[in-house]
Amino acid sequence: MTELTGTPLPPLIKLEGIVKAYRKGGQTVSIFDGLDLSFQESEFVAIMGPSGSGKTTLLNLLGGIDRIDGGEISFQGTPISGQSDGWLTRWRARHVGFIFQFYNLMPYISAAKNVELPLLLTGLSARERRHRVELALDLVGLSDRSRHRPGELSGGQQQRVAIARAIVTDPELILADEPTGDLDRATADGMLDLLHEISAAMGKTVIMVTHDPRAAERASRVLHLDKGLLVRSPELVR
Amino acid sequence: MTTLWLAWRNLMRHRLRAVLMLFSVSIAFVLYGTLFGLNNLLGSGDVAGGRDLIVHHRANILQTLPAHYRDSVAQVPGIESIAAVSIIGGYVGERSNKVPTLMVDPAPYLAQNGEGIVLPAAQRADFLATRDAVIVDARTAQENRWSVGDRVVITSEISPHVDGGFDWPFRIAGIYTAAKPEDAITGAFGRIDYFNAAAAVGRDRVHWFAARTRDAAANERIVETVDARFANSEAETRTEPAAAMARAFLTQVVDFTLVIRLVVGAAFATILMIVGNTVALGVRQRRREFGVMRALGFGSRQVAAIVVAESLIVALFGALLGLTLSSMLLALMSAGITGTAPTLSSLPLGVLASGLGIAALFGTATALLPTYRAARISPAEAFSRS
Repeated sequence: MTELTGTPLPPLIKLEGIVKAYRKGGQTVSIFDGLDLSFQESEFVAIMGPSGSGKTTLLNLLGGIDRIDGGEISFQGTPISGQSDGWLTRWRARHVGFIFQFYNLMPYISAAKNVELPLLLTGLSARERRHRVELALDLVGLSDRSRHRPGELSGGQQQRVAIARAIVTDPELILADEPTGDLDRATADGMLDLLHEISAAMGKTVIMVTHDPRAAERASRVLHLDKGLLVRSPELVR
Repeated sequence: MTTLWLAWRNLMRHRLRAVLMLFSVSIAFVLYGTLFGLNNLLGSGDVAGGRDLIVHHRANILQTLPAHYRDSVAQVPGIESIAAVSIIGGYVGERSNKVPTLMVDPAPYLAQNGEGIVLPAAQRADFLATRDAVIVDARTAQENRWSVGDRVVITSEISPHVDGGFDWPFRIAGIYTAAKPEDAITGAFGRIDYFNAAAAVGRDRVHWFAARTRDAAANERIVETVDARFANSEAETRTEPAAAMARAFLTQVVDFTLVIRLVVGAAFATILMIVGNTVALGVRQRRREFGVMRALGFGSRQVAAIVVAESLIVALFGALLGLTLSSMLLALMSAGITGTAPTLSSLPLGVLASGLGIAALFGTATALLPTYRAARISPAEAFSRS
């Protein structure tokens, strides 16, 4: 991706020489050994691969949830690897939105309160928070369900609430872990439309882990991971 | 939406669990409020709290003192009046029909208890003049259908009569009332000279002396003087405020305050473990939820604050419920003692304030382990497939 002048834009998030291993059963299992990768602003990227290929680990590293053993991850030019837990927590609150396979909404509060949850960390007034929640729910088409609890919503509606929660703080990066994995085809298509819109119209970088090739087809780039290696170079699908 | 609000909503999702925890906590506070409230009502032991003192055996109130101590105590500067008192206990007919009876020096005792024993002048004069006379409170008289002039027999539980057996014949000289309900004294009063003439054992021995001082400010010195006077004698004394007499009765068996502390401490320790375990279970069941919050950007302290808030809500509401119940129990007990209708006498302020302080400590203590666990939950839990 380049500007009109031809100067390449700096990546939103960049991984250089990433090394990551886990200890399992007394043995060290290598996940990544020198992975290089970068994501641009406004990209919609799908990450595919078999179980154990490192997809979720990659998502955790991108979200500052897991730590690397070597290399460097930088966000908008600032290194995030090596930062303290507190710093990463604040960074996540400000710059990252998460969407999970099983929605992970709090079952005991309404859809609106679920969406408001990350805003509690922003210092915004209650009125401003309410306004932002209304906007986010409107964007995902659930304004009329704001008072419903998750248990009173369908799977697709719950995932829309989760998307509203992910975008309500206006983060640059949205990380989605199998967002359509628990939905039927039609509902999944609607969800992918929404993610595409968030990326294309709102300028968010959406990185989605998926097993579903039809979901991956909707992304602007598909990465295939196998045993921690990129087995196909970045490829423009659409 | 705040941490407290989130904690409250989470508690309310398992209402039965929350209610059961609340009741568990309230049980400890009922015990705390009732026992410490009672302890407080029995007298704080403040020597300068009033002009009435009691002088009893150093060991306990059921050990007797020689009657001749009376003159010696009366000579202590600052003593206005002194009355000897002996217990014969007592019931009429059935053992369950209690008529607690004290044998006293009539004139000084009536003078000291002008508020609690109000008698018509003629009846008073009769009591002062007749050796086997007895005066009873109006409720006891009514329950036994007694009138002035009746001859009655009170059976002692501890003092045999010189005629054999434990029956003590009396003639009712007067029926007394109290000036105010809170001053009411239940039971009967006979005369110590009758006791000394008719008791088969324990003549010229008394259970305690009721003393009135001229100035409460001098009580500390008087207490020291009296007790020093009988130090190293065959019957050493302990002089205390009259308000501490009920406590002195209980202390004859055990250290009442120590027992209260042990019982309440055991209750709190048990319930601390039960509630702590329940809160910990709640944290285990919500690992993913806390993981999601951590992923969304909540710090470990913010997650911990929610757990602490939940524990504090349970502890404070449980304390309020328990203390309210104990206040009602105390009111009923107080009514039982004075023979009046129950009034919602409030818990002593000190007990209430300490109770709320304990609730805060209790809430924090129960949250310690669960909070530690919640704070260590990784945001990666949010991605758990299980």
